[in-house]
Amino acid sequence: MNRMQKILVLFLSVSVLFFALITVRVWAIKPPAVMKLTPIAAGEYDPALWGKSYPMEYNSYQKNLDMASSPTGYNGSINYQKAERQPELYVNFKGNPFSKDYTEDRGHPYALEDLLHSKRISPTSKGACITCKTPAIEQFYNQTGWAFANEPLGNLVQQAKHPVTCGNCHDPETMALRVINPAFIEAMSRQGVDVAKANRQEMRSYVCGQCHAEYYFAPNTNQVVLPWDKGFTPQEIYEYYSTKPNGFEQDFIHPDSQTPILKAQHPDYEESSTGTHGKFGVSCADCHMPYMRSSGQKYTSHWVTSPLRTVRESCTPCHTQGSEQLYNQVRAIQDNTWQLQRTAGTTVAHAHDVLKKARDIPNVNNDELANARKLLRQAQWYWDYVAAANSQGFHNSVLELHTLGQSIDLANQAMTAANRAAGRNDL
Amino acid sequence: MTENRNLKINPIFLIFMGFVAAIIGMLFFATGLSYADKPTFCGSCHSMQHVYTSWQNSNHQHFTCGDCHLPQENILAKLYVKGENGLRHTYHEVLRDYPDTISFTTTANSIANNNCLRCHAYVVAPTPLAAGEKNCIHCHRNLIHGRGQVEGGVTVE
Repeated sequence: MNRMQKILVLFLSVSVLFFALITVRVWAIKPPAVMKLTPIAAGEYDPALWGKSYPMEYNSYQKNLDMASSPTGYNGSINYQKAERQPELYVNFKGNPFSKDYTEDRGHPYALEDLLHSKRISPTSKGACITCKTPAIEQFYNQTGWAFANEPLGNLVQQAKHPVTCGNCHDPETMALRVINPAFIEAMSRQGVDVAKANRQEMRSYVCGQCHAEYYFAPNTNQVVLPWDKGFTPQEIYEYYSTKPNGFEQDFIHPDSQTPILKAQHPDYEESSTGTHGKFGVSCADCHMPYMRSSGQKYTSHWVTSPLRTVRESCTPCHTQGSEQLYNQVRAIQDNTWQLQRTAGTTVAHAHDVLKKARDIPNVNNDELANARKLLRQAQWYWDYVAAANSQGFHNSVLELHTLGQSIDLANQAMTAANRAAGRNDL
Repeated sequence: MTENRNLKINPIFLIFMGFVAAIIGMLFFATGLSYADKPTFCGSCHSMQHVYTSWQNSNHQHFTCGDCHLPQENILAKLYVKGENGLRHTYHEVLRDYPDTISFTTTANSIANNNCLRCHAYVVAPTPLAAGEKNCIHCHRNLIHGRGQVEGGVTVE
């Protein structure tokens, strides 16, 4: 062979190899479209062990360890004190542990650690606090029913070992979605919904809603109850609380105004399911756990975070306007809600002060003052329902802005009533 | 040496051989192009699975992918876009780095939109839309590759 022939042979060999590679990679061997089911032993809650069989899901779950500000700057996953940005929290939760420690929540892997470090509770607190912090709740409830809610938290934390992980939402045998918080199952059952018969799309919201919901501890038993018997809106939930369910009247009495106050807890499921996306059948996971691809294989992201971090996967399957326009839209909703939330919060704080002054006036009209407290209780509940949720208005902007507007009006009415009670107009 | 040997070949034979080579080449090219124009070829890529399925269920199933996604003004533009897209798509198909949500580039959008108007221009002609940007896909994006017919997910076994 002369030199020319050698080059020709080399060129042909390289070409054949190159096209063979493309053929094999594109047509002969496709990315797997079947996921091998690996059953995990019941009662195994270690995510690293599940992760050996489900590496893509586990790797994305590990991203929940990231601590970062959200793309719009609201909430996020850094454990800063919320009162640094809203000083009115100190006034509105005076006399309640939330005035001492009210941190922004971090990701699921921190659930147990942050529970232990919260200054609001101690090892002698009630076991009810662990209901949403670990999959071990499954065992606690199976063994003792709701009795675990009255045990000291310290004992249960030692048995729990793992924070919110795979087992909270997945059946270990079949990997099907499941809910294990008995409070959620009971609340849905009171509404006539059998969670066991839910379809997959419903489950894609229920698994989140079992914990991202408003609740209270029933007096004496400390059983966790979700207050949904009259509906999901702040107005309906307030009406429910007005019936003193299970003898529950308030979370604390404000020391200045002597108002019985309800503390709201992250009503994310309530806001979302009454909002535009929820009403039209979009599940929590559709946006917060979008489908991703890794090496051509489809999987569900288990990095539960702001969908603005995954606009392409979360939003563009329906909204094609481009990430900048979508970001601006969300940002505008959150900016508006934040501004009105601050106005409502500071008006409520001012009202506590006015009611305190009215109390100190001799011969104050106590009936009228009681009326002022009733108005202030409702005003603070409406403000807190929005302030305690994670979406900063996005899940249901119309309802949340409406609720904040009502809060401001009620707080002003409370101040007027307090002045009337005191026979003054300058408090 | 080689020059001398070439000179000995009959020029008529050389021209004849040239014709044969050209015909074989053209046949080869036309067969390849015809094959590559078939939706089954487009759908044979993993990343195209769900758009292929939704197209099969659409009211445009009698058209090929290229009828809508390639420029139809002239053969050169069509071949250029087909070649350029083909190379780019093969590259990502081999690397498997395509996202789960595949969306239009600005160029692809305008090509498809022009193809809507190729048949449907008369629909918008008497309306104010004709004066504007006339982007059909902006509203009718779910017409062919509608949602709710997604295939290509993962089966758990």
